[in-house]
Amino acid sequence: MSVDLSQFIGEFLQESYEGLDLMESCLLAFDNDPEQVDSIFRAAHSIKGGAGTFGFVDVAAFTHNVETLLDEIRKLTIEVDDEIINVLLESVDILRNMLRATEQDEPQNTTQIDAVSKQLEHILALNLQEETSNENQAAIDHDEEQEESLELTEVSSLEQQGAVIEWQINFSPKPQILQSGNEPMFIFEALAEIAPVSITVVYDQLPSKDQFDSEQLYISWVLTLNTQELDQTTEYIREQINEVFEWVEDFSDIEITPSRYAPKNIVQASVDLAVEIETDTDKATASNAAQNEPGNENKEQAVPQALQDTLNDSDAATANLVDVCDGDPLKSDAGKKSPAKEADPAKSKATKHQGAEINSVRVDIERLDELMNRVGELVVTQAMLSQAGKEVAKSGMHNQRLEQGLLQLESNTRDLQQDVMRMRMLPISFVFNRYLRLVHDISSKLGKKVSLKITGEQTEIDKTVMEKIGDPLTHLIRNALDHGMETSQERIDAGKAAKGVIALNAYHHNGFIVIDVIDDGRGLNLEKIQQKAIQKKLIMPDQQLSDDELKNLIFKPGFSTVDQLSELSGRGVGMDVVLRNIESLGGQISVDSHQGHGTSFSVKVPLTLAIIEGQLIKINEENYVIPLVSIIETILVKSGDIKRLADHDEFINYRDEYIHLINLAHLFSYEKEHIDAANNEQMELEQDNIEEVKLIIVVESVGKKVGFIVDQLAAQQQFVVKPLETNFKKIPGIVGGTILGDGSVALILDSAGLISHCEQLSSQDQSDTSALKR
Amino acid sequence: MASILVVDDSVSLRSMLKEILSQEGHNVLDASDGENALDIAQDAKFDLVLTDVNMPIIDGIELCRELRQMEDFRFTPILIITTEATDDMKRSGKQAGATGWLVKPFDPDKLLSTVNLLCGKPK
Amino acid sequence: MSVPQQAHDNQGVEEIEGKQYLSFLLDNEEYAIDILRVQELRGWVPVTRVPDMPEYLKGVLNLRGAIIPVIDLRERFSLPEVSYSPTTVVIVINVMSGDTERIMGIIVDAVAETYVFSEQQVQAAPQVGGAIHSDFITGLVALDERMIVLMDIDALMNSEELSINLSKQETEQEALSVE
Repeated sequence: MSVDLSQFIGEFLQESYEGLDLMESCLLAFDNDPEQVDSIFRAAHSIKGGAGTFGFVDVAAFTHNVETLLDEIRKLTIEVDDEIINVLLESVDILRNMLRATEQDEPQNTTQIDAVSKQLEHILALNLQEETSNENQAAIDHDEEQEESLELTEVSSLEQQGAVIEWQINFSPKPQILQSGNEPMFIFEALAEIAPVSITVVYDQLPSKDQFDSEQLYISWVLTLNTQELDQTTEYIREQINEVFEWVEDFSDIEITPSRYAPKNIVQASVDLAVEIETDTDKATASNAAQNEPGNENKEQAVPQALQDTLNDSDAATANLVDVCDGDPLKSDAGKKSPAKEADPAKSKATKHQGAEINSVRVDIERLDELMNRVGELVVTQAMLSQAGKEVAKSGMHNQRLEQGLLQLESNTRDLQQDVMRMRMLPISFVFNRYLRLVHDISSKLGKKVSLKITGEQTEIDKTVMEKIGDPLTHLIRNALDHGMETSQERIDAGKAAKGVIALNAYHHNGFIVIDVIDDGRGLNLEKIQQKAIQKKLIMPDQQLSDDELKNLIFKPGFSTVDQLSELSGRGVGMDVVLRNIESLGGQISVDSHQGHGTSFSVKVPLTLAIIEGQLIKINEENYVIPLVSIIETILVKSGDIKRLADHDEFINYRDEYIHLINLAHLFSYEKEHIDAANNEQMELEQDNIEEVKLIIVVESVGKKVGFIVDQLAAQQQFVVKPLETNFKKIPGIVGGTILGDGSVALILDSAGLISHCEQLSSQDQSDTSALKR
Repeated sequence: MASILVVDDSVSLRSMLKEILSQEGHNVLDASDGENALDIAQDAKFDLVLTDVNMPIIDGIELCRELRQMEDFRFTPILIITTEATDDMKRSGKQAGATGWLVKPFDPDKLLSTVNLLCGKPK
Repeated sequence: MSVPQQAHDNQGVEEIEGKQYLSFLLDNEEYAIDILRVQELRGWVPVTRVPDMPEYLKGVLNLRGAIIPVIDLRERFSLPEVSYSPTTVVIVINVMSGDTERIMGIIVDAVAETYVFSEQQVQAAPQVGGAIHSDFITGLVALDERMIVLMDIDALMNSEELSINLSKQETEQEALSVE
C-alpha cells in the first residue's frame, strides 16, 4: 500500500478546527434542540474517526469520552446543565490544543487533558449509577460474550488434537442473499487468499424453469480449505475464515469445521487419519448435507488443486451457474461493465451537485498579497498612462482610440483591484463568534449575567485587518464585562433587567468598517475619571475639561479607573494600547457613555491595509497624502481669524471650539528662509489689511481635533500603501509611501501620530489653552 | 476496476478513501452526505457504495435503506463505515440492507481486501 | 547604464581566486564595494524628501514599485557638497540588516571601474585618518600609484539613522514620551 496518509492530515486538522468551532458555537447557544445535539455529536464523531485513522491515538481516546457523553445526551439519558456545557466547552479547548500540539509536533499538556477526562468520566459514571435500565442490555451482552468464549474453548480443545490442516465449510446461503449485496464468488476468492480451496457445488435445490426466480440463489457449496502449508495457529485461521463469512452469516447456514488434523507423529498418523475421516463424514452430513446425500449423483466433488487452479475452478463453477440462472447482477452487463462506462455523466452530475466544495480553492494568503501588490503596480502604471494621455490631449493631438482605451483601462483596473480586494475579504463573524465564548466564560467567572448580541456579522473585512482587530475588540469586551457590567443585584436595584447585554455591531460606512461595542452597564463615572487623571498627573487639578475630554482621558497611557487591576483585564494593558493598535491599522476609536445607562465604543477601521482613501496635498511643492479616515473637513480661514499665543502657537475657533493649528511646512522643517520669507510677506500683507486666506484641513484623533495648514489641495483618491520599512524603516508620523501617477513617491501622513506629537509640543502651553477656553 | 461511491461528510476522510481506492485503479465518485449520494445514485450505477453512518440530513443507515429501494442498487454491495461495530449498529445496518461494515480507524490494506471481497480482485 | 559584467583582465591567473568589486569616485578618492551587492546603476533623479531625517538621507524614490531610501555618501562623510550633475550616479545596492535584505541607493560622484582583488592584495585598514571611519572599511588595495578603499556597505548602511534597530528604539522612546 503506497498511499501516504500524511497528505490528508492538513485537511483533517482544518476540518477538525471547523468542527470544534461548530461545537463551540452550538454549545454556547445550547437550547436542547435535538438537531443541535446531533451536530455537536457528529462533529466530535468525525474528529474521533479521523484522529484514529491518522494515528492520533490520544486525540481519538479523548474524543471517545466526549462522544460517549454526547451520545448519552442524544439518547436523553443525561440532562444538560451548565456544568456539562462547561465541561464540553473545556473539552473543545483541550481538543483544539491537542490538535495544535499534534500539528506543531509539540508535547501534549497531559495534566490538563487528564483533568478534563476525569470530569467527563465522572459525569458518565454518575449517569451509569442512575441508569438501571441499562442492566438488561448488559445482561444480553454478557450472554453473547459467553457464547463467544464457548466457541473459543471448542477451538482450543481441537488444538489438543494437533493443528488443523484442512477445514470444511458448508455454505448454504438463503435464496435472498443477493439482495444484501454479497457475491459468493468473491467470498470464495477471499477464502482462496487464505489458503487453497476446493469447491463443490450443490445444486439439488434448483426449481423448475417456470418457478425460477432469477434474483434468488438456489445453490449451496461445500468448500474445503487446505491450510496445511500455513504457518499460523488454528485459532488465527479460524478467525480469518470467520471474517470472510462475517457478513453473510445472517443470510446463510454456515458450518465451519476442521476436517483434518496434522499427525502428532508418524506412528499415529493412520489412526489420526481414521479419526479425521470419521469426523469429516459426521460433520459433512450433519446439516443440509444430509438432505443432499440421497441425491448423490448431484454432488460433484472437485479435486483439490493448487491456488491458481482452484480459482479458475471456482470461476468455472460459477460460470456454469450463470448459464443457468442469469440472476447474478454483478456478472450481468447492467451490474458490472456499464458503471465504468457511465461514470462520466455521473461525474459531471456529482461535480454540479458538490459545487460549493469543488468550485472553491484554498489559496495561500501570501499569493493573494503578491497579486494585490501586482495589481497595485498596475494601478500606478494606469495612472501614469492616464496622465500621459491627458498631456497628449492638452497638446492638441486628439486620438479618440487612445482616450477611449485609457478610460477603459482605468475602469478595468479599478474593477480588478476591487475584485482582488474582495478575495481577501471575510465576514467579520470569524472574529465575532469567538466572543460568544469569551462573554460566557468571563461572565460566569465574575458571577455576572451577561448576554452577547451580535449584529452585522456578515459584514466583510480584509483578512489582515480582521486578524489585527481581534485583540483590541477582545479588550473592549473584557473591559465591558469587568468594569462596565454590574452584578445582577446591582442591576435589579438600579431598576434594570438582571441580565446585562453587550451588543456587537458591524457595518460599512463611507468605505470603512465600523464596529460598535455597546454595553448597558453602569457607564463611565466622569468624576472618578477626573480624580484619577489628577492623581496620575495627567491633568492639572484646576483644569476645566468638557465631558468629551474627560471620557477620552481613558485612552491616556497609565490610566485605569479600577484601583486593583483585575486578573481579567490583564495587567498593564489599558485603553491606550487598544487605541494604539487601532491607530496602527489606520483606524479610529471613539467613546460615548451615559452614567447608569452604559458605554459605547465605536471602532472605525479601513476595509483593507493595502489601499487607503486619501487626500493628496502639497506642502512646499511636495506631495503628501492625508488618510481620509481622520479628516473632518477642509476649511478656508482668513489670517485675521487665527489667534496666536506665545508668538508661535496658533488657534482657530472651529465650531465653538478652539483647535490647535499645525503648519506642516514648519513641522517638516522646510527651508527656514522660505517659511520666514512667507511669514514676513504675510505680516506685510496683514499690515496692508489685505486678508490672506489659509487652507486648513481639520483632522481628529480620539476626540482631539487639530488643523493642518497646507499649501494646496489636490485629488482625493485611493492610494496603494507601501510600507517604508520594507527597504528603510518605520518613521513616526508617517504611515508609508505611495507611488503617484507620474512615478514619484508621496508620503502618507499618520494624522494620529502627528496630533499626539503636537499635543506634546503644546502641553507646555496647557494652562494658556484652558485660559483661552474660558 | 470497480466503480465505487464514497459517502462521507468529512472532507479529509473522503479524499483519503478516494485516493486509496483510485490508486488501486478503482473509479471513485464521492458524495458529501446521504442526500448528495442519492442524487448521484439517480444517474449512475456502482459496484460498491462505501458510506459513513453519522451524516447530516440522511445518515448512512437511511441511505442504505433508500438505495435498496432503487432498481440499480438492489444488489449493490453497501459497506457501512463506523467507529464502533456494536451489535445494535450491525443489526440496524443489516435491516437497512447493508452488506457489511468497516470499522474506523481502518488501515488501507484492510479496506482494499474488503473491497476485493465485495467487488472481486482487480485484474 | 548597466553594470559591466566583465572584469578587467589585468589580474591574470588570480582572477579565479579573487573577488569582484565595483569602484566609484567620491571627492577624488576611489572606493570599491562587493559587486555582488550591486543591483543596478541609475542616473540622478529628484527624490521625495522624508521629514526629520539627517541631510545625507536625500529621500525616497520609486524603484519599479519599491520605495527605497537614497543616501548621499558625500554628505554622509561630511565631504564638501557638490551640486548633482548628469554624471551623478545612484548605485542601487542590497544591504543586509541582520536577516533582512534592504534595497538602498547611494549617490556617488561617478562609477569608475570593476576589479578583481585577491585576498593577498587587500591590506588591513588603518585605524585613523581618511574621510571615512575605519568601522566602514574592510581593507585597502594599492594599485599602481593609487589606493582603493574597500567599503563595508552593511556596516555603513546600518549605522546611525539608517539602522533598523536604532529606529525601533527611538520609536519606542517616542511612544513612551508622548503625553
